[in-house]
Amino acid sequence: MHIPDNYLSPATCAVMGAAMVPVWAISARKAQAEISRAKVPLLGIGAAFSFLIMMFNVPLPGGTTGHAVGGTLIAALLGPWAACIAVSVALLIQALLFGDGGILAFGANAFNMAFVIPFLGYFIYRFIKGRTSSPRGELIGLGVGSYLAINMAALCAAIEFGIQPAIARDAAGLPLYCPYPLAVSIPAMLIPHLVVAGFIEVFFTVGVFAFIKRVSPGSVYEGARTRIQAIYGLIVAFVCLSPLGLLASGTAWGEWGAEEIKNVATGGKALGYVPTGMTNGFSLKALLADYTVPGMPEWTGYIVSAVAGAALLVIVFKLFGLLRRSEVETS
Amino acid sequence: MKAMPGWLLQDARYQPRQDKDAFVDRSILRFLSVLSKGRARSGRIQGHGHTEPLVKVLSIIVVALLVSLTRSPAFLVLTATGLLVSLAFQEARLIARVLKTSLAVAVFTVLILLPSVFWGRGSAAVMITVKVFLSVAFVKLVSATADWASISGAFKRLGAPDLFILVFDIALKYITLLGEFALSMLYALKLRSVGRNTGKTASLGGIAGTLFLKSKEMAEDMYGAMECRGFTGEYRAAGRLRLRWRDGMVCGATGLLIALFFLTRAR
Amino acid sequence: MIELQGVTCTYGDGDVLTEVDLRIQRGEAVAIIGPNGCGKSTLLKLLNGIVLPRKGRYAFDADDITPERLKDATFAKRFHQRIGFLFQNSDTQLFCPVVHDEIAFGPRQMGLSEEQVARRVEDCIELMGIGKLRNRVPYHLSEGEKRKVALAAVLALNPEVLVLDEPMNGLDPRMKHFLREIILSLNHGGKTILCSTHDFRYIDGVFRTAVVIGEDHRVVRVGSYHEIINDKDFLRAQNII
Repeated sequence: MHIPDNYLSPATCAVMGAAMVPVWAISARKAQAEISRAKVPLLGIGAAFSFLIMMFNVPLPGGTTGHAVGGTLIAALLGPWAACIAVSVALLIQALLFGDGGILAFGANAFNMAFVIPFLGYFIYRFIKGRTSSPRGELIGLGVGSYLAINMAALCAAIEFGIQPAIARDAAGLPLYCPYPLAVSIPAMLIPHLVVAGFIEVFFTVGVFAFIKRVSPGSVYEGARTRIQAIYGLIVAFVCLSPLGLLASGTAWGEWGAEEIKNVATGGKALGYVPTGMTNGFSLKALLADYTVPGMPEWTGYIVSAVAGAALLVIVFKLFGLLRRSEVETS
Repeated sequence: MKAMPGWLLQDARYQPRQDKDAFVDRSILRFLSVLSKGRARSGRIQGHGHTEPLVKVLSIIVVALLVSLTRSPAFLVLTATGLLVSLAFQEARLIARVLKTSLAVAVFTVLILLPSVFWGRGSAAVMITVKVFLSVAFVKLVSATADWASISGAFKRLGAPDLFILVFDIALKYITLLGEFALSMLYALKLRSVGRNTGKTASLGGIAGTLFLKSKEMAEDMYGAMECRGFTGEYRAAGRLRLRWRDGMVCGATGLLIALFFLTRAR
Repeated sequence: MIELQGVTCTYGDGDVLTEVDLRIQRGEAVAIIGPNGCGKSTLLKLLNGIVLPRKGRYAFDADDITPERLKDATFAKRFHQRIGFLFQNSDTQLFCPVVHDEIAFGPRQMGLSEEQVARRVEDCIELMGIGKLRNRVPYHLSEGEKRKVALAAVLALNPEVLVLDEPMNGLDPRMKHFLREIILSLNHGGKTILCSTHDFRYIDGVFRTAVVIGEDHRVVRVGSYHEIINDKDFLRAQNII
């Protein structure tokens, strides 16, 4: 999920960075107002914690591993405002001191991982938690929140990638940055996240949160009641935004000639953006080869991926419920 | 003297079962790599051969921007030459580290861009790959030679809020501290993982969860200690700018790159 | 049981152990003594396979412990079962939500039946006298209680060798006495004990052998614990007292 430099145009980076400035300003103010006792140190140590949890390899059934972003987890533990600051600082340290994620792309990375994930994840979690009174409901809310949030972040990254060929070309019409349009970037980003990365996030988030809740329930952030209205507002905003993404993909499509689309469909077979943490032990090619149906127009693939995604979501929820139940039984 | 239970007096005749628990070893490796970097690059005294961090951070942003903006292969060749020259001044281990990361990212980019070559975008793919390589290599070069503690000084001089600098400093310090703690826990898990662990996620949850509780405890202690020393919420980051001939060279090289950028663009 | 030949360990730029030769027989009780930063902890980590030597050879009961050998998961797991390690900081060793689970963690992995696991856990709880803690959260226990739980969790694996890193640190006198008794009993029960410490008052009569590591990270003396501990001039020269 860490976007390196030169995948996005400097203009895109500037816009994303500018979009983050008010978010950071408000978050810093809110976080300071909210975390009453151990104010500043908790932000710094929260950033260290955020950095470190990205170092853990999470086991998946079958022996595969991958690493989580943990944005939803930190939001549930420290509140979304503090989480935004903590994850941003962690990302900054990664970009500056470890070369992980671009320096120019820092704004975009912060938008995806320090804004979208903590806020969306947290609000979904609070929404579901507010509807159920059982501790299991809380964990399910957290699982659903973390799953949807990381996928929304992947979608945002995909849109950032996908608009590049439309907005940045040289005189010969060649793309200057990410060369793939939305029709390619969205499935390439979303499929691995829906299938693998989302579950890594869920396992990690729920596992850690369940432990803390059991061991030291008082350490978990208790959001103020009044913010429920804002939660609805944000969810509505996000729901409205997602068709916008689809719409944008439609227009970008239109710019491509029929010849090109055919090429995308065939070339797309081998294409994939693999998030850095997921390169080991996971074959994206095999997945995508199944995804593009040869001899059929590209848009069918898109619809297929949407249907598959929706189906996957349902399966996820069912399996997740099953998992929670068996865990309760064994413990 | 305590009475020992019978099983404790016999040697265990035990044959371990297979388990897929690579996540423990992989996590250990990742923590080790972060901690070794942190250890190698903190607490260094700003000696003669060091470049002012502000100069470093600014020039790296300028270089990243120029590389990203340029459409001229000639400029990229020139920048690459500049990279090679700067690398040549470093010690071998550092060069290897810089190249390892940047080549890995470049190869990764090639794989991603490979399909676009088939639809006639070969030259664009080459340009993008070279750009990615150059940016990552320059950032790695700067980060590998920077003293961690001094990076926040660069932010201070850029006019960042003191509060941000404090948060950044605390984060850097506690990455090492909490990282050592997490590493010990991973080792403890490894040493007691003598068979098949049916609750891997729970074990990991326990480690990361304990790490959080420890973080929170440390944060509270730290706040207490800061209050005792008169901290009221205001923080003034100290630091003064000291430019040396080396900084002048870096500034000059960056200036040269800016000039080259416009020259190659005009052509 | 344990044999080190010319073992050197480096950490960052400098050595933390230099040319260490050591031979420990089954059933021995050995104290590792040395000033702060001499490499005691590294030596104990090395014996447990957490740290690997840069140079030299480490053999555990005729098996060479090498990175290649430890990559074999079955071998590594068997090795870790045979040698138990009590960490200096008990906090880092406890990661289960309840004391009972913490002690059961190892035995459960070994494929024992639930009854056998339950028996081991109860035996360990009784041995350490922590019956009241059974359903408590390890994280919130006192330092001494944590040490007891961590030791119980290690003993539940029934290791042949027990390595203790500064086990007396941060404990009250009563707890130190208790721990001394436990170590003595375990050694009499046939366990090989290796222990780093500078708390000489409380471990009197536990160890027969002492290994002294100097500030230059080398073994400077191996011999009778009693003789070494009474050689005040030597201990002073080594900056130990």
